[in-house]
Amino acid sequence: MSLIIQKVTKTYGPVTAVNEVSLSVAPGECRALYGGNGSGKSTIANMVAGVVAPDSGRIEIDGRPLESVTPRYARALGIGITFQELSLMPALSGAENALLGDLPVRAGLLLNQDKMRARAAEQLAPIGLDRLAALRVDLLQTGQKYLLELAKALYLRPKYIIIDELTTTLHASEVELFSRLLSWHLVQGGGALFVSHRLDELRRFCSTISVLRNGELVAEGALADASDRQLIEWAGGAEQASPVPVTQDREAETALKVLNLRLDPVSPPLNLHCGKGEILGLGGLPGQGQKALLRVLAGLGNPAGPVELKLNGRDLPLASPVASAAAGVAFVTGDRDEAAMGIRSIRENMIAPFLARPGASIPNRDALTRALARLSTRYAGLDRPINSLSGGNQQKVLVARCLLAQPALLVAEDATKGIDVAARADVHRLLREMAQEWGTAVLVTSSDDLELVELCDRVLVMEGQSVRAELSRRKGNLSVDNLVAAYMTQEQAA
Amino acid sequence: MIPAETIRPTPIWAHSAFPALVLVTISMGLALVLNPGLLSPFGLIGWSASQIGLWIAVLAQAMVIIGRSIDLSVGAAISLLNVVAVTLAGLGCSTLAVIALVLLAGLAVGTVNGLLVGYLRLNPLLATFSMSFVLLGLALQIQPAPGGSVAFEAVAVMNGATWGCPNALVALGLMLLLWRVLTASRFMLLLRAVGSDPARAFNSGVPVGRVRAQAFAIAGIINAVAALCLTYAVGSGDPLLAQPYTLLTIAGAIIGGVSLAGGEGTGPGAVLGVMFIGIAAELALGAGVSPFYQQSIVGLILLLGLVGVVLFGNWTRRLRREAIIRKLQLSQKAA
Repeated sequence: MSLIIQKVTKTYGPVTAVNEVSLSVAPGECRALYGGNGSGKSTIANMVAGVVAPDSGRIEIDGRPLESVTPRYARALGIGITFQELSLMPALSGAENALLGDLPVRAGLLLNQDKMRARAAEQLAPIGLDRLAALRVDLLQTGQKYLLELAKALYLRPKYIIIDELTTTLHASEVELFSRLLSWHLVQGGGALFVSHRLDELRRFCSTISVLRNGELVAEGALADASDRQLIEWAGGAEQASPVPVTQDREAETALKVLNLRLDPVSPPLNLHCGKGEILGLGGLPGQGQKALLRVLAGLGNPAGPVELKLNGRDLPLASPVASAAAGVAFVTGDRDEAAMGIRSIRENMIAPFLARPGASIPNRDALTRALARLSTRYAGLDRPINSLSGGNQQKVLVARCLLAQPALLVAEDATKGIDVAARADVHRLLREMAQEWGTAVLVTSSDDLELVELCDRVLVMEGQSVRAELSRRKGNLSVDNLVAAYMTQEQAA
Repeated sequence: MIPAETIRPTPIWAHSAFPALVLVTISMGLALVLNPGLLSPFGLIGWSASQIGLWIAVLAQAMVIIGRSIDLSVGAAISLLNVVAVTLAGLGCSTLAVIALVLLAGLAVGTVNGLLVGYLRLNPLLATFSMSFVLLGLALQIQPAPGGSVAFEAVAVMNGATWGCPNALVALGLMLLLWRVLTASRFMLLLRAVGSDPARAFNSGVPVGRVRAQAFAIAGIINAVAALCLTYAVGSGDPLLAQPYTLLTIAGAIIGGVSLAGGEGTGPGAVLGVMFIGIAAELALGAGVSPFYQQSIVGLILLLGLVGVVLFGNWTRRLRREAIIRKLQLSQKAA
């Protein structure tokens, strides 16, 4: 009686995503699935969920084989899954989304609204969303959406739940809610396969671990027996998890100046500056205007009033991503749905920002190859569609294209979302090199406090669309503890 | 994180059909100034009988568009069903038999569309476009030229009134009631899920192909009702009678708040949308402009209406979003 994956193999064209991998999850067990980008974690998750058909091998759920490859059938056999890219329908309410798998009906056809309300309340109360149950899902914040994805998967009371990178975007308080739901599921005799890059979370939730590397199972066993260093080594992370950061000593001249920026009509005006070659982080609780600020700078959002934006002494254009790009701003987001043009080639994805600008010279294939090589991107050819790559490698392509423009300002919104330790180190190294070589001002947000502290010279803590605290490496007060303390005290004081 | 108060799902001004309601109210007011006879008992019967086919057909189109498909064969299907009805009547079928057979024929056409789009996964645009010529050819085969007639009693009913209310409006009311029932169904929620995001709906275990096919089949039945109402309102057959319906229903549904991106919109909104188009035509007629310009004028009004609906929709969506974010922030602070 368990979830058994037996020698499954999946190839995409020339790339073997998963090669004869076997693992099992017993009731009450939470198994970690750990590995680098493109190591096949998501492919395995999708095969168990009935979204992707294995080329060979066998998947068995409590003795019953997963014969027909549809998510519907996998669900019927007792599999629940939270998708990395979410499975929520934006035009439906939270309640409708959560209950979609088993809608209470009357006379076989009509929805039973009373039962829907009751079940939605029961299902959404543990994640604190019961009062927002009637709201369209696209109005919710990212963390809320991911918790809803979990509630939706748990609603059908699956015997085994596959959790694919759910916690990456969650805030500490939300991880707490997640942990409660997960332990309840395990206590009830359910099993879980937990896919995550965060070692501390794996250790917190999981008892056993399977490590993948390039689609092959390289290690397996009790999680307590392996050290972090060992795990990273197994997964192929040759580089250190926390490389020594380069500190900025010189008082750099100002590159970016933001004066009187209102992100919404009720918030106070926001002022900030960022020096040449400085990496400036925006931290704090999620949804406090960090992303809105970045998007205004990238020409993707509108400020709620007159504002002065200067980049190297020149006015930055507003509300036009093309004009912003022409003015030397590059934008990269971790939301690949938004940034990657799935079926177009890697090359087209990389030159798109240049094609959009009349008069811009298009980088040649050599330049593209060099940019990709700097991030050690794994790809089969520049003319392959970008969606033939794993999520992490897609992200590398999107970061690499920022290199091509030699930007004066790089705006990075959660740019390392859902990519592994080694790839993250690659991206960080690249951002630092850009800052040093070209004096690029780099503005970043991250859902991970540790990342901000590792990467940034200075971090602004935001709350209510304005800056509430500043931590800087030069002053020596930049640490995860200080960062967390800065927004936690706000939470209590407010 | 829990807000202090529950946020109301949609205030009236943020409803997708609100702009269409405003447009209908304004244009109706103008039309009445130009032609006060429009709302006289006689005028109302005439107008509603001339529009009822379109009013009902737009419900079928709305159903399909909500599932992120489109039906370019609506006009041809209704025209075909019109000549089928007239031909059956000519062959001596009773009115009840005609109604039953036309409903079946409508279901058959819708089911074929549904199989093509839902199960064979053909692009709905191409599949229904091709289908429209198949249906047009059939209609011309059955009855090449306008003519024929149906039972006089039924025509009298369609062009009559019950206690002062035109029977065409009664028919519309009944169809809206049916729509209300559909809205409360499990099927409609699954259809909105499919329309909102087909890939995610599939990953959520929704049988996407089946739901789409069902939507086309139900739309086929609604088209048959539209064809019957139209036939008994007009009293005769014409293989090209409803050709303009295809694009009119699409435009009307969009004005009425049905999103081409799927998942959004309501039947009553779509009906308001085509009503606005009908009234725009009345306006051009009533203003006494040269018949040569009439088409352009109607098109221009339509275009303005469409622009208004889109801009207003974007604006209200933004307002709504900001209001909710502000509320969430306030409640977060309060917590």
